[in-house]
Amino acid sequence: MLVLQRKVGESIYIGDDVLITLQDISGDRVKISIDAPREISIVRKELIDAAKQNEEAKESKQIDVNKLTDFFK
Amino acid sequence: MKINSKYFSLLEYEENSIIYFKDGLFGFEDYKYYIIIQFDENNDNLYCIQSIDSEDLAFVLIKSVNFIPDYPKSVASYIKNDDITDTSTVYNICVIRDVMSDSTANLKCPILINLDKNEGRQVILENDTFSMKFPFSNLTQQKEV
Repeated sequence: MLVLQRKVGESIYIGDDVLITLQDISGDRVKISIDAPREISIVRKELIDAAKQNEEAKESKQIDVNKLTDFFK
Repeated sequence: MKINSKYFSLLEYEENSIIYFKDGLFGFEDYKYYIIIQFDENNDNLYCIQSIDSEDLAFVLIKSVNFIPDYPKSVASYIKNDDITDTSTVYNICVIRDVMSDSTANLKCPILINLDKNEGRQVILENDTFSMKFPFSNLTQQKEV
């Protein structure tokens, strides 16, 4: 994994056409801008994680309801 | 009204018990209407959330407040708007494993239900205290403390 330091206003390119610019830092929050082709999807990681977790939960197919309720009696 | 459900076979429900999720659930954004059913009427810990549009779309929910009394307060402190009112109920989606103590609850992404409005929302808490895979065994331990 590459780790690098940037100051506010500085940018990095990922490939030829994704440009990430550090816009602002305030406390523990960093504002970044992403300039990328429309077909590249940009999603916050936690949304993907949450969706994967829900997907996994949906796969709990055959549950033993008695075993489940007994566990939390 | 009646639907085929994932965990209860044929399920009867009242139209006024339908809960509307404007944004759906994460990963299932297209499904917006659910009902919540208690698995066992004598057990207030476990519920099922069942989509009324897709038989296969249902989740096991746990009422974490029964194990972590401060949980709703913690949730409220991480939610920026006032979605949580006194009438809101907080549930967490579970992944159920064969060995029950290996099952987990997603404490980082609670489901908030406003029973007055029959509206629900799943949120992501902006903190690292609560895990997406909080083990059932830890929940029961919390209760004993």
